Amino acid sequence: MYSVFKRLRYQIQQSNQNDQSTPFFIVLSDTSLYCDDVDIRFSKMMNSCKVLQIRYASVERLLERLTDLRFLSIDFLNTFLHSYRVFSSADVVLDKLITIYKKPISAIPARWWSNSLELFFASSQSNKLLYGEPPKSPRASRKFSSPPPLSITKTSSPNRRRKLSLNIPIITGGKALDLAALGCSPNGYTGLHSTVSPFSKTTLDINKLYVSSKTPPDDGDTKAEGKAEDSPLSKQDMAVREVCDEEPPPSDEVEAEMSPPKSPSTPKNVKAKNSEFSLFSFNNGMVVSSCRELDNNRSALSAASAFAIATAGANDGTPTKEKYRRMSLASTGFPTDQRNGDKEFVIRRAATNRVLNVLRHWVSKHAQDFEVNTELKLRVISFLEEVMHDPELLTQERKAAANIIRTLTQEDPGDHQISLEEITRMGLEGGKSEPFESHSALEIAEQLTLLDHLVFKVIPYEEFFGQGWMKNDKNERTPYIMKTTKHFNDISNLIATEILKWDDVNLRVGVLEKWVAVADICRCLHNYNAVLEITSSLNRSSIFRLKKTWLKVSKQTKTVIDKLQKLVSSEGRFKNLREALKNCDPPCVPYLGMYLTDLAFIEEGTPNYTEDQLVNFSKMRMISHIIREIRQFQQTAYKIDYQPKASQYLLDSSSVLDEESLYEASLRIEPKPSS
Amino acid sequence: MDLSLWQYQFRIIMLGDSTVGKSSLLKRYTEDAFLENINQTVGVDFYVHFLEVEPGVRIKLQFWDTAGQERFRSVTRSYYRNSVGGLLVFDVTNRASFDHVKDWHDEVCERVVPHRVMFTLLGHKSDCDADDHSERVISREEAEKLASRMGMPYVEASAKTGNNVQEAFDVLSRRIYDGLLSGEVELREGWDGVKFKHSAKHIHKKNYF
Repeated sequence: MYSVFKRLRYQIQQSNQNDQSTPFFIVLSDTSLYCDDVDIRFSKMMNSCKVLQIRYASVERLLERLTDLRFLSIDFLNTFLHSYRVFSSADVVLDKLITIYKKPISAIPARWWSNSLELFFASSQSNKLLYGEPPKSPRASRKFSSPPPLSITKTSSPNRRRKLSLNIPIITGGKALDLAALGCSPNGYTGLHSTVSPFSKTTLDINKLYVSSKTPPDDGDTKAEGKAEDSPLSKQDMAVREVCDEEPPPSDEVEAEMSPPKSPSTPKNVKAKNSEFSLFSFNNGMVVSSCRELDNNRSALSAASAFAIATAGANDGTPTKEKYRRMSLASTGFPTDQRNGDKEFVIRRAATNRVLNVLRHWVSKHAQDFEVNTELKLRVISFLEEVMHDPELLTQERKAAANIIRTLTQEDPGDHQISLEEITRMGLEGGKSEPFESHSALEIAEQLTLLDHLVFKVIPYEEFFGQGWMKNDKNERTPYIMKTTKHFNDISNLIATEILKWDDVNLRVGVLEKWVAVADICRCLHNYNAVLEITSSLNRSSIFRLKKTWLKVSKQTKTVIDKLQKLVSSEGRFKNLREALKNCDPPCVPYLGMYLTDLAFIEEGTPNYTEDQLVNFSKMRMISHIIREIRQFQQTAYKIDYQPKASQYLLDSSSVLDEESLYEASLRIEPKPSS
Repeated sequence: MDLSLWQYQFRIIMLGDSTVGKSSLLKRYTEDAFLENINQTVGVDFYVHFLEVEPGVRIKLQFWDTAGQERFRSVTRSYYRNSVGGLLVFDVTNRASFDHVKDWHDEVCERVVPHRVMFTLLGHKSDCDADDHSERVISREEAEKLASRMGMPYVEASAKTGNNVQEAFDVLSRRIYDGLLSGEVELREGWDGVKFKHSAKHIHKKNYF
């Protein structure tokens, strides 16, 4: 246990301050977030929410994390949506989402209530009460509630840090009361729940802790986002917003001008919990992501917007003072049923947001699932229609649901790019293609790149699970991977055939050098697949053994070959190629074989389930990361115009020799020295 | 072990049909570096193993891993040429994989000329596959006969139990090393099958004293 804390603390200290993180105390207070159990085991790594990543877990626990209203990491969401087919089914996932939507209270595991969720409410209250008089404007409130980070950031004084580290190991069970140990003062005091005096040192320290784990937008901002006339959300769209964006807080005037809530169903007790709600909000439903993912998955972040919208809807213009009065009442003995009502409202909003956010992400980023599974699509649509007509919901929530339906029912506009099938069909109609000599190296390189990418981009991600391409039924299980490898081998055979078809050594040299030129252009086009198609052709024994030919190949060409071979060498697990891929902006055609080796490595190295039948989620994460990299390259198309002439040439396999014939041809043009 | 302390580097290629368990054998042999590190460090060779063939002579074994890439034939074939050792693997429960051993052997021999690849035949008991309860169909005698016909040692091993895995690679490395000593294997410029490095100690002396 001690080491878990040390690790947690260390990682939080080390964590990127720009990352939105789950407050330390929330993590600490819920042992189920870091303590191994029969149905869950954790890895040593933290996700972007600063919660330990799941290593192994039961399907139930995975579904539970998907719907954990306190946080949602985009990494988890993507991994889950890529891999759920391995251990579950789309119907089960959808059922879970529907349950959370319909019965959010009973669907929440009891242990959240017993510690962390309660704590969340409690702490958010004391956080405010600390400052006695309510601040006059949200801006002021913001300043007030955000003292400079002190306790556990890198900037903290050595003194404080030392105290903190002395205290942390004392925490044993992660129960709410133990939180007191987090206080920096060594005196020891009352725990949070017994905090009658809001000015106690304990709460002060906790507040600092909470702030220092990265300032979240506090309630002033959160409310403002939904209300300010000029905010993106007031335009009634679910625009993508970054979690960390700092919206200018609105003035009091804006708030005062707010009209009463449009939604007639807003519960009367909304007013009381605004402060709670907004504090709750900065984690709840928020999709937190790492910087790189921010760029690639921006729409996932609209979780924050959805939440802000919900917050805005919940805010019916209650004067700030009133809010604070109600809030302090709540924490100092206000009837429990009232407080429970607040909570229920908060949780209902959070649950709705979560369900809509997961669905939106699923529908927009994992659209393949719905293209191949019409039944699933119809189920989602009918559920969302139900949501749209739920009078209990806020207008914005219903709109969000409608937007998802729109995405789902939209005819895929496509990229209007020509498909490989069309090209092949035209090739068949076009008759015999013109020979290699009549195309320029540039034309060949461009059309090869276009074709390579067309073949590559349509591989659906399901095919990357389970090494289907190595199984006997590979053509049924992974038809698109098979098409890609066939295309690769065809092109490689074409290149070898072109070289070997000339009896004259000078003509062979000419053809070989032109293919090297093609390869170098392909490198510039980021078509690393073609670089391998060409260099590996030259490495085939039928070509490599042609001593007379190689003697006449220019030094320049040999230098280029050397450079290209180094680039795509498998050495160090394709070290150079990986580096090039990392630094290149799409469009790009990577070498699929490299990823297939990684996937084979993962699949052979570790099972899908542990011996006690827990899902090996670490494995799913590794596979998902590879898929994400592949998809990043699949999604950006080349802006290369289709040119029938060169394309047809590349696809015309009528005169291409097979492996055996190539070797025979090689022996014929340059016979083995008789020994 | 200090990574700079090796005198020879041998490139080894794993050969055999795609389902015989080449990767599991490698994984078992190079265990530690395996899964923990994937995705994290670019450019780290996971399939590397160090061993001492005789006191003071450290060998770095570097494996070409083509698992998953088998379909990209022209690529995998280009790996042959820069290998000095080949572990020919078949599955003792799979007759076809045994029959293909000869093909793999011939294909490699043909393609590495003028170099030579030193082989070891490995009968893999792929009892690691839980849902595969197939019976053994290739007897030890039959496998040994084939091995001696092709002029190579035969070892039986299991990646699941780890039984004999170390031995199989030791036998192959020993064979390459003996080949080096006897001149059967030659170091050549521009060939990556074997690399020779002065011992670190030696370099140290040269540079600083």
